[in-house]
Parts: sequence; structure tokens; C-alpha cells
Amino acid sequence: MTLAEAQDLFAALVTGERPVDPAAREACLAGDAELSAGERARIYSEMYLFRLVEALREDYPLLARLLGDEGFFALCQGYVHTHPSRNPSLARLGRELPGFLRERPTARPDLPDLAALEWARSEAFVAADAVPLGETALADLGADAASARLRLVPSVRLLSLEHDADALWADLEASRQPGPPRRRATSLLVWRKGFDVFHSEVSAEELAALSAVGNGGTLGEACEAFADLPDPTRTALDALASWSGEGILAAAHN
Amino acid sequence: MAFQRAHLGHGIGLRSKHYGRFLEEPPAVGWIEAISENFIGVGGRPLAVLEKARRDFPVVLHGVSLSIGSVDPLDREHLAGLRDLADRIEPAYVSDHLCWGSHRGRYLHDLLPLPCTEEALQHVAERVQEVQDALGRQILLENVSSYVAFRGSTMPEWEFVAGVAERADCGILLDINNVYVSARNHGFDARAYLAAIPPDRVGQFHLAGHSDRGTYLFDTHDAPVADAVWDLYAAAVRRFGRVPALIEWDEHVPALERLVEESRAAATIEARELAAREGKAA
Repeated sequence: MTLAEAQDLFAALVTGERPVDPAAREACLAGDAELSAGERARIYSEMYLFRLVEALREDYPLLARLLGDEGFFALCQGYVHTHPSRNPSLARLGRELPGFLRERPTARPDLPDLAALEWARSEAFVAADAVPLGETALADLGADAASARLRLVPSVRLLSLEHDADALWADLEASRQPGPPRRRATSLLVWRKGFDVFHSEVSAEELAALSAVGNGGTLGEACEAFADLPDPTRTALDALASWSGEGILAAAHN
Repeated sequence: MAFQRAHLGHGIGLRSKHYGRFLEEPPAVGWIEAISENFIGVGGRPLAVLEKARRDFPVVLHGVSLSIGSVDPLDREHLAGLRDLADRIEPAYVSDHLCWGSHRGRYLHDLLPLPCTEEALQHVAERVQEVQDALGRQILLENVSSYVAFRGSTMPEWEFVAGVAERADCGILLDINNVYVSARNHGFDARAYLAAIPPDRVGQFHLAGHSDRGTYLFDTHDAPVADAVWDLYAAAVRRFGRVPALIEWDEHVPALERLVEESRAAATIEARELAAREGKAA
């Protein structure tokens, strides 16, 4: 048996993705009086799933709490079958879980949104560092502000959700019994300041403005998102001051 | 070519439970080992902790996903990330495992054993050389615990480990607990294993706890080092001399003080065995 054939067979035993003929297994692996070849292979297959589920639990602690051990295990089992790990880091495994949840009926309709928020917070925690704009940087731009192009620091995540995932997140985080799902279009900004991750609900207009900055638009173009609001200039200035204060803007060339 | 052993003393692993403590005050250990994958391409608190630790100690970058024995192509993006991290941290060593863990683009996130054959030995040796070229440095490969044996193996594991190191010109990270666990699981003599490993290739030891599951031992890293593993460590010090040794404790991670205590226990055994060795030589 070649190395490639041995790995093909052993990977099938570990992942359970396809049945393995017991005769082929016995021809590849040795058993003894203590443990048969099948029992020895099972040590690996049990650990495979256990390890992946525990990694997902680290990124989705509140989803896991809401579903309970059995429910979370069943979800993860289906997930890793459809989305096996493609990255050397286990921390990337859960990337597709919110989308996976959206594609199927779930215990609560707001679970995909909760998962999206938890994943965004996980990503923000380890996102690359960046030097945010200084306190006076926006004022220093003066008349050039409208044509200035900035960028969002790498930890920023912008979420457009269908439910009030913030309320569900807050209930679970505080170990309160979560209220019923509340269907409501919700825009969330997730970011890291120092070592701490925050999220905050923002208006759809503010989310659009942040998206414009993130996509390389000028500050003037970004602020067009506020054009239909009662006091667009004031709203835009407040938003810019808030973004600057939270350290989510950085110079484009950084 | 040769392998140059670093002199680091006794170290512990950097685990997220202790990040706050590492930021406050460096523990009384000689060096620390960080899991490479946890720090590739990341920022925030994890990277800040690693950089602080590097200012305080020599650091070893220890990987779990190189998958050096897989027949999949080497993951060039991962290697580039590892090189960036190594350039930034300037580690005393870069290490990973003599195993495979990816298959047809899928990562299994386990340290799967290789059949000990000439084909596998040559395959691994060639890939180690590619990795060393990509990183611009020698690496160390660690023997893994295993629970299965391949019928097709044509040589004992110790011969395979030594053969890879010699042919690829890399170092060996000898995990004493893994030698013990595999010896029990496969019924070979752990001391014969040590006797077959070339001393000039050994750059580091690992020490860890395991679990007895009745019909086999499992490498859990969730307990103190077992007495039998301390005994084997003593034998390893007698054979290999002063080798940087690390306490691995990854599950049910205890207080930092307990890890430091375990590391000191290793240092005490090393001092005792080195003194005995020197006494014998004199």
C-alpha cells in the first residue's frame, strides 16, 4: 500500500465521510489482543469530531449555550460535514456557520444573526492591528475633508441582520433567559478598541456610510448616505466624531 | 550538515488562560513555547502577549498544522505566514510534528501517524528541505503519540525519526511523554527508542501528562507529568545531556504557578542526572 493509499483510507476512517471496507482497514492497520484495528481507528474518529466541536464552541459560546450540548453537537456535526476545515488554523473553522444556519430551519429564526454577531466579534478580537487616526486628524483635514479617503481599521465588521441579535446576545451574555425572537432589520457595527471588542447598533444610513469608507470612497461620498435625514450635516459630523473617538478610522496609506 | 542545539533551560507553553499574567509579570521560567497557528496573521491581545513574552524570554514557535507527511502539496500560504511570524518573533526554534494532518485540501486538525516506510521517509525528508528553504532556517520535528500501527511499516519508529532528521538535516523535538505513550500502546521498549535517537539531532524535549484509558494510554496534556515519564526523562537526560525541556499542559490548564512548579521539577531532575553523569565521567 502506498503512502497516498494509506492516507486516503485513514482519512476516510477518521472523518467518516465514506464507508471503508473492513477488509481494507484490516489490511492497512494492525490490531492486537487489547484493541482491534477498528477500535484503534475509532480513537481518531472520535477525537476528530470532538476537537472540531470544541473549536466551534470557543467561537460560538452563546449559540452553544442556547442550543445545549446535544443540539450544538448535532449542529456542528452537520456543519463540518458540509464545510470541512480548509485552513491550518482551527480558528477559521466556524467562518461559514452563520450562512450554514441561514440555509436550514433552526430552533429560533434569530440563530443565524446571533451566529453572525458572535463570529464578527471573534474575528475582531484577533484582527490585525492598525494605528487609528489621531484625535485631531479629522479637524486637521479642514477644507480637504470631503475629498479625503480613509479606511476602516481591520477589526471593523459591519452586519445587516434581520433580527435584534443584540438583545439576544445581551440576554445570553448576562445568563438571562432570552426573550422571544424579535424580527427587526438591525445594523450592527463591531470593532476592537485596545484589546476589547465592542458592538453597537447603528442606523442603516450610518452602516451605509461606513461601508462607503471601507470600500475606498471619500468622506464626502460616505456622508451622502445621510442626505435624506433631517439634519444631514450635523448627523454626518456626529458620526465622524464618533468613529474617530472609537478609533475605527485609519489613514488610507497605513 | 549539523544541528545546533540552543541552551534555553526549562520552559512552559503560552496558553490564553495566562495571557493576563504574562502581560503583568514574566513567570520564573527560562523560555516559552507558542503555538504558531494561534499567532499567524493575528493582532490584538494574542499578538501583544506574544511580543511581550518575546521581550521577556526566548520563544519557540511550535506548529500543529504543517502536515509535513501529507501527500497534499505543502500549504505555501501557511508557510509564508509562518515565515512572517518567525521574522517578527525571531524564535529560538521553529518546530512541528512528524505526522500528517491534511488530506485533499481538508485539515483534520490531528497529528496522524505515518507508516514507517522508505517511501514515507523520503517523502518527508524532501518536504522538510522545502520547508527549511522557505523559512530560511532548520526546523525540529516532534515524534507523536500514536494509537495505530500500519502493517506496511518496514522499520521501527525510532529508526524512522532518526532517518528523517539525518536525511532532511533537521532537528528532533523528542517528546518524552509521546515515546512513553506509544511504547505502552504498541508494546515496544521506550529506552530502546531513546538509545536509537542520535544525540546531536535532539534540540528540545517535551514533557506532558497523559490519561490511562484501560486498554491504551491517551496523550491528553491535561495532567501532571506521570512518574514513569519523569523516569524516562531522567534516562533521556543521561543520554542526551542538557536539552531545553518544556512542560505541555493544554487541557484543564492549571494556575501559572503550578506550571512553573512542574518546570522546576524538570530542572531538578536534569540537575541530578547531569551531576550523576559528570560524576560517572570523572
